[in-house]
Amino acid sequence: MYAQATQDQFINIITQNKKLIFKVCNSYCKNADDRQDLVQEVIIRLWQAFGKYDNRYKLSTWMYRIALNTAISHYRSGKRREQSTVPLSESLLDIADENVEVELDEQVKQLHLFIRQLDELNRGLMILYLDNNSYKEIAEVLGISETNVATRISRVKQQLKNQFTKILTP
Amino acid sequence: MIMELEELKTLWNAYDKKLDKSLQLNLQLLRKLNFEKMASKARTIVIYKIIEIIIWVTMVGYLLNFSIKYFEQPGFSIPAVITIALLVAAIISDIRMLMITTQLQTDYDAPVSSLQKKVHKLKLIILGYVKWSILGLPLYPVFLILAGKIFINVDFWSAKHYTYLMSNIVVGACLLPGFVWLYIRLSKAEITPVWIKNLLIGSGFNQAAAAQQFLDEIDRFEKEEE
Repeated sequence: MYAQATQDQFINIITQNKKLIFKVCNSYCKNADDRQDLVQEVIIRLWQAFGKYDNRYKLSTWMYRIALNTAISHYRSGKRREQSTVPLSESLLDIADENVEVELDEQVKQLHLFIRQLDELNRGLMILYLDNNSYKEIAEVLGISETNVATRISRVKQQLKNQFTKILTP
Repeated sequence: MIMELEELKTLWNAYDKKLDKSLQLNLQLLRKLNFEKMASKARTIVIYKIIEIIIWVTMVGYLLNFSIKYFEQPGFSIPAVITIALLVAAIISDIRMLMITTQLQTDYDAPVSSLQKKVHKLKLIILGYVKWSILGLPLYPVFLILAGKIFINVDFWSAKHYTYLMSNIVVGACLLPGFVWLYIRLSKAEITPVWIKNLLIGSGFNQAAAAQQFLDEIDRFEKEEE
């Protein structure tokens, strides 16, 4: 009974924060099959850590840490079809209407391209920044100082300018 | 036109809103996932490691007894001591792996930089284990002597088997410098000869180099504050 209640509570949290999981997974996996595996892996990790969730931390901080840690490990191992996951015929989390991706204008596509070009750590930083997290929250998730967050964001900003100048210069 | 970071934020927010409308979680599928099974799979890895350590410790105990029994016969006691030393190194390595693996299973909610350090340190330990195993291959006559005595009660030092044993020791000795050289090359950060690089593809060296490189990246990521 208790286990069922816990599971329901967990599913409720996943439902409320599905965008966070999707955005992280989508930023580290371009390929849909890979993304499907990563989504499943992130959910497994969240479930494994759920029992010891410390509610003194914000739920989003806890989720970002687990999602980013899983995504970076997954991305760096270059693995396909993670052994701890079960191949699923359907997607756990996906865009219902594929046209949404198509509809996104050129700049959004460039944004994704840009994010995917950043190294793994800066990619995490960028996702957190774009998701309107404060420097303090970003520092807590990444385990670096707030000053360092500010410096790194300013560098990414510069990198971004150069990148788009290059793309848009004929 | 130059894209500013704030403009990207606006685009990201628009993307976020589109996800609000179109992103779907397959609840039916999520409920079908066996949550308890997922947790137990992680525990299985730890149990396997513990069993491995118990086997190594038992072997050390047995070989200690063996080396005391054959103390006055260095032909047997020395191979036993060499094997004990290798097993102790394996046990230490296994314990370090077990500690990090256990931490990794419970600490996935740790800050990204500290957890990724652990993940990549673990990779380096595993690959170091592989490198040492390679280095141990030329020592196979040592294991031959012990296995002969322990399992089939054959004394490879006896006149009957002496030539066979010596030929194996010579082969092992000839292989040793080559394997030591290979180990040293494997330990270098940069490998220049192309043929060695080709030889090492798939050997795990690339993974070790990548893990070390990422650890350095994390260090830079944590320290860079100016």
